[in-house]
Order: sequence, then structure tokens, then C-alpha cells
Amino acid sequence: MSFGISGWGCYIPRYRITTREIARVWGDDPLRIRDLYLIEEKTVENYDEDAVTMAVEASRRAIVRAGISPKDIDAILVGTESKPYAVKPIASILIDALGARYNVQAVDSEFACKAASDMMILAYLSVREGKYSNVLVVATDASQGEPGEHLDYSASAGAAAFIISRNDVCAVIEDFYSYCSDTPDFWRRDGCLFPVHGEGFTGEPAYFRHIISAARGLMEKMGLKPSDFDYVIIHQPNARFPVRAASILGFPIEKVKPGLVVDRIGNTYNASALLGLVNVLDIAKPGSRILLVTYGSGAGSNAFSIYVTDKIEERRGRVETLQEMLKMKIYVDYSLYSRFRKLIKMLQ
Amino acid sequence: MPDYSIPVPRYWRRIGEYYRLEASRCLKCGKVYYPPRARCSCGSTSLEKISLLDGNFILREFTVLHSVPVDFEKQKPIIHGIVENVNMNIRLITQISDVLDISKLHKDIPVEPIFRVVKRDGNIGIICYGTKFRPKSIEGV
Amino acid sequence: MQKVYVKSISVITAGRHYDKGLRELAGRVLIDALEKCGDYDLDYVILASAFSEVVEEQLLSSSYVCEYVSLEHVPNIRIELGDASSCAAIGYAYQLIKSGHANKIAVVGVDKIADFISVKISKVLSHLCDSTYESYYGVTPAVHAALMTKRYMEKYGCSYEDIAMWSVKMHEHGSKNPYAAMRRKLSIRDIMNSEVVSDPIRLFDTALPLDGASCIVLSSEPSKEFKISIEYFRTVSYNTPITMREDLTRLYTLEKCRDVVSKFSPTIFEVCDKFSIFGILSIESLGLCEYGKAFKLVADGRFDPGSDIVVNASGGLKCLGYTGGACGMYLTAMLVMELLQLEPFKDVGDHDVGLVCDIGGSDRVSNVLILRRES
Repeated sequence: MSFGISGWGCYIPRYRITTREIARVWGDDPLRIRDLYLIEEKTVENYDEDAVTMAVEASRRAIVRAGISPKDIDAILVGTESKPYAVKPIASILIDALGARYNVQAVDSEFACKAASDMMILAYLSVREGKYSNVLVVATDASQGEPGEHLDYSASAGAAAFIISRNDVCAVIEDFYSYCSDTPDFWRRDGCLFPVHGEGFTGEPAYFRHIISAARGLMEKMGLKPSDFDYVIIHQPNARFPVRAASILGFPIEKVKPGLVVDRIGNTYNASALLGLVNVLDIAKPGSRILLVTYGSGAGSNAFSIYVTDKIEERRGRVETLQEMLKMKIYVDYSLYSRFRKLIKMLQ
Repeated sequence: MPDYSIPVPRYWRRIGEYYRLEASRCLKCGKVYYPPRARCSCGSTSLEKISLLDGNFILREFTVLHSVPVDFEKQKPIIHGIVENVNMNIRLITQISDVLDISKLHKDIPVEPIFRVVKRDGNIGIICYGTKFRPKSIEGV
Repeated sequence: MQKVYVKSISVITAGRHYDKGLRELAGRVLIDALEKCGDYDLDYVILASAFSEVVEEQLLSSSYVCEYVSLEHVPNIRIELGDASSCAAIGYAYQLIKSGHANKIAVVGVDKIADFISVKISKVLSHLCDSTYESYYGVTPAVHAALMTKRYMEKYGCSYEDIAMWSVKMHEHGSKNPYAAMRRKLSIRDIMNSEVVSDPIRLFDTALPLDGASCIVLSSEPSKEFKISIEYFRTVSYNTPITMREDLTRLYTLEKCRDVVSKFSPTIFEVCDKFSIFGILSIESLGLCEYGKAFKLVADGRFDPGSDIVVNASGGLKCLGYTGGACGMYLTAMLVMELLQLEPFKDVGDHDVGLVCDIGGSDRVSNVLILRRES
């Protein structure tokens, strides 16, 4: 019996802003910025979009892809760090938006960018245990960075959703390995508008330590080497970090590229590595093995080994691919960006 | 407690219609109604709930509203359109979102339903969600 | 069965009456009309108002108006039918008197919408649309009118300027009417330069929401000075959303009143032109001309004062102002003056039967009244 992904879906907004445009407004050298992050442009949510609306769109597509009814879902687990309500879960809105049963478990979770992948682990365990047959796992974020600061160049909006199931599994979760510690590299105090971070500290002691440890821990536990994997997908706050991490782990760049989507989407936080996974699932052949390594500041990492089955072929074509969504883009300038992202303070 | 302006039950009881475009269909003659009804014009009071989300939608007519009501002040202009679900033979009035260059929007294009924020009740009230539509393709918009 | 006569009328020019609340406005016209009658004996006061609760947070508004003019024991009721409240209220009074249940009734149309800022006015007006399924998403009556206008333009191959000529014509008439709130002549260029409300409709082509009040006293006995009776009343509804109507270029409710026009042969009309398209479609739907022809006929002066058929010699709601539930009362008061050829209507011509109609929402309900001047 195998357990894992029986359907996947994603959603990115249609609007885009280039890092060049942001640099223009804040007096940065656009070439230096591009070189720093290797991000060309990022998604911008419309005024009427938020983490909830994107979660609904991604979930609807995952359900269609899996070929199940919303009534077949036993639990809805959401990972996010940009909830529109501090108290009121996205998961509950998903129940009615999707037409799921009321006899479901529903919960939101937070661990910076990692929570959705934590939900994936719990979904997998509950499905394997037998209590649930289908679990919807959603990664959604419409996060913001302080205007004119590093994060303003990368923080973007997007969502990815997966049906974790015991039936019709097209991508088996073979095993996983977690590695966490108290490492304050990036945080947002309650009530604060934007997060802050430790700049250089977010690198070695945080991102790289946890990702490398989780990935090596998994490979050692499973007795696998980089050559046993066809794809490696790593959390991507920019394009440089995951490329370097993959190199440290011994993966050639060709195995990294298909899972690297940050250059044209930006950092979608919980959906960051998971949109990379969506991109790979859109093309991976049966028999491929994927190493997925997520990361959440604070800090922690989950590494997964995912094996693609021949059921994947019939899942293609049912909904748009991430690449098709990427083509549907409309550029905005910084003024519209500010308006859409509600950066301009209002009275009410 | 401060007076948040949208009473919650009024929004909550319409969640089926707002989130899933729930309409009524007469079990006797098959006529579909949106907004939903309790009694069909054929006389039957047996109507079932159906979602209009499935099916192909075409934009039949639209106008760009500039004199928006106060709760939409920061969202102007708003495009309101009449879209038709050609499979179920029913039309509805809806907002058309994700259009930046209105001069390129035209009638008879395919549109798709999307789940979006309709309005936010200030800083303390609820966020109201609903279904809007957008052009299926961005050719020109 | 008793006859129903107009005993007296009273009108306050619509405007931004910041210094007057609902009861002061209504009280003014009520006192004025009753003074003209010579006594305060009344069987009923019927208040026609659409927005009282929203604007003044006042229920039982008819009772508070009566208190204000010391009609402490007069039975009263408030009628709301959106912007068709007034003719509905007149119709209600007409039926009470005709059936012998009452002899003298004061019908007062009043609304105070100008207290609000413009974006709030748009919100309040959106209560005329389906608040759960349309206004929830920001639809206002202007959106309906714009969709109807666009459809009409496409069907009959006319431009928006052709439609907006209605307002130019209205201002021609209204410039001579001291009861009108808007008395400046307008050119088509003035209209096209004004801001867009809901495309293609422009601000200077819409009837401006204003505070207003008007009173008509109806009685089984005519006035000593004139004899105008209400000969007929009909209310027609079409309780469906505009998305379920086959044709956005027809007013289904007024079409159902063509037999009234044939039977009573009115020659002077006051129609509800809250948007130009409604004025044009009223003429066509009542059968005064073929569909698709009214906009040109109006612009060419076919229905000007002095013609055999006269429409909106007062300048219509475009010039009188859009006074919510009081709209129909203004139109009816104007029609009375036109039938009597009182100033400023000395040159409308000699008409003895007139028709006034008001429309609630976007063709959801219409009320039609036939007024006859008897010698």
C-alpha cells in the first residue's frame, strides 16, 4: 500500500512587478539587485486577493486533478504566515468554499515558510494510519516585506495544494526527515506589519544548517545518494540559496532547475518549495524520484523523498500547469503595487 | 464592543450563494434561478440547490462603474458584467476582476469564476468573500 | 364609489436642505397644501418615502410628521416602494377614497438623501438593487441603467450622445420651471465633459439625488378653483432580476399599461426619467411611438410643449431632481399644473387628460395615474 500525493494544484495571481521597477523607486541598482537574488519579477496579488482566495483556487484545482469530490476530504490542513485574520482559520473558509463535509478536521498552522510541509507530514501519517482517506494540504501566502528593504524584492503571493491519499497515488511519499532548532533568523512580532531578519545570519546558521542537515539526514536514513534522485527542490527565498545548497549536497544544476521557480514568481513563503514541486509534478516521468527540502525560519527543515508513479500521466491536462499560469501576466508599477498590497495607510 | 457594520448572520447565511454560486433548480421543470427561489414559476415548490461553478461562462454585457458605493471606494472603478453560464442557461450580474486595461475588454469573451474578497469591514469587522469573474485569457487585457 | 379629486398641491424645490429634517420638509408642504384647502380635516396622512430609516433612522415616520403639524389624531401610514413610493401612495389614497373608506387624504412624498456624502449616497441608492446578490458586490441603479443604455445603443445603432440629448431637452424645459432644482440649459458638450458615472452614462445626464418634498391632497370633493380628478390608477410589477429578462430595451411594466393609454387617450405625460434611458423607454413602452424611435423624436421636439402629445414639460426628474420616494409626487404635481395651464406651463397647450407614471428600481414596478381636468 502506498501513500502520498493523488492530486496537486496551484494558484499565482496574474499581476507582476519587476525587481527593476522596485529598485527604481527605492534608489537601488537594478543590476546589483538582480545579481543578488536572481529574481526577475514576482507575483503581486490584486486588491481583492489574499491568502484565503489563493488557497481556494489552488485547492479547487487539486481536487479536480485528484478526480475526487470535495465531500471525500477528511481533513483540511493549511500552512501560512499571512492569515488575514489573526484568529479565524483559512481552513474553515475552505470547507464551505470547496463544498467539503462538515465532518472534517480543519486547522491552520504556522512555522514561517515550513508549516505547509509539516501539514504534509501529518497528512501522510494520518492517511497511513488509516483514519483518513484523503487530506487536503494547502500552502498559501501573500506576505509582505518592508518597502524598500530586501524582502520587498522577493516577498510575493501564491498557493499550492495537495491531496494526500491512500488511493490513486501518483507521487508516493517514501520517507521524510525533520530537523529543527531555536534559531531566530527571521521573525515578526505580534502586531508588527513586516518581519525582520538577521541578514547574513539567515544563511549558514539558519537556512543552510537546517536544509543540509535534513537532506543529509534523509538520504542517510534511506541509504540514498544524490544520483538516486532525478530532481531536487529546495526552499527558495531567492535563486542563489537553493542553488548553493544543492551544490553543497552534491546535486548537479540540471536536477535543480526544474524545481526552481522563484526567478519569475518570487518567494511565496509556504508555497515556495511546493510550487517548485508542482512545477516538477507537471512534467516528471513515472519512476522519477524527487528530493523536496522545505525550510521555515525560526528554524526548521523537512526533507521528503517522493517517488512518481505511472498514475501521474492521467492526472496531467485536467487543470492548468504552473507554466501556463506564469504566461498569464500583467505588469504593474510600484504605485499600483502599493495600492493592491494595501501598503498605503487608510483611515479605516 | 465597537459597532462593526456588517451583521455576521446576514453574511453567513449566504455563504453557499457567495462562495459556490448556489442557485435553485426546479425538480419539476428544470428551470434554474439565481438568485435562488422557494417556488418555481411553474408552480412547484420542490427546488434543489445546485452550484453554477461548473460550466462555461461568456461575458454578455458590462459597464465600468466609477460612482462606487462607499464600501468600495478604494476599489474603483469596478467593472460589473452580466455573465452567462451557457450550459445551464442562466445569467448573473457579477464583478469582473483582474482587468487593468479596460479599453481592451469586450463582450462575448469566455470568463471564469474566481473566489475573491468582496469587501473588508474596516479594521475590526469581517472580511466578506464572494465569487467574481475574470477573462479566461489575458489576450489584450 | 366616490370620485377622487385633487384638492390642492404643494411643492418645495428640491435641493440640499441641510437645515430641514424629514419632518420639517414634509411638514412644510403638508401645511402649505392644507392651508390651500382651507381646513385641516383629514381622514389620513400617507407618507411616501424610500430612505427615511436609512437617513434619519426613523420608523413610524408618518406619525412623527403628523405630530410636527399637530395632526395628533389623524391616522397615518408610510408607504415604501423604492423610487415609486409616491404614485403608489397616491394610488393607495385613491382606492381608499374611491371605495368610500375615506373622504380626504393628504399624500406627502419626502426624502432626504443629500445629508450624505456622495459615496454614501451611492451606497444608499444601491438599496434599490438586490442588496443580497447585487449591491453586495457594489451594483448600483446606475449600473443597471448603463447596461440597458448600452444594449439600446447597440440594438438601434445610436450613440450615447443620442441618448443624452434627452437631458439637453429636459433642461430646455426645466430652465423655464421655477420649481426645478436644475435650471441651467445644458449642451451635449457639457454632458460629455462631465465625469463618467457608469460607462457610458455621464454625471450631467443623471437626475441628481436631492432632498425634496411635495404634497397632494385628495378628496371626494373638488377644489373651489379647479376640477382635476384622478380617473384611474394601475400598478404593474415585474418581480424578476434584470438577468432573467429577455430584453433590456423594454420596460415590461409600462408595456402592460398600453391599454390605459388607448382607453383614456392622455395627451400630456410626466414620465420617470431618473436616467435618460428610462425616459426614452417610458415613451416607447407606453406605445407613444415605436421602439428605437423615441430618442430622436424627443431631440427633434416632437413632444415639446404645444405639440399634440407633450412629455415632461416640467423638465422631468432631470431638472426637478431625483428625490427618492418623492419623485412621483413631483411629477404628479407638475402634471396638475400643466393640465390647468398654470405658470410656468401656459404654453403646454390645452390638454384635459394626462398620465403620470413612476418606476420603482429597474422596471420592477410601475405606477400609472390618469388625471382628468373637468370643466
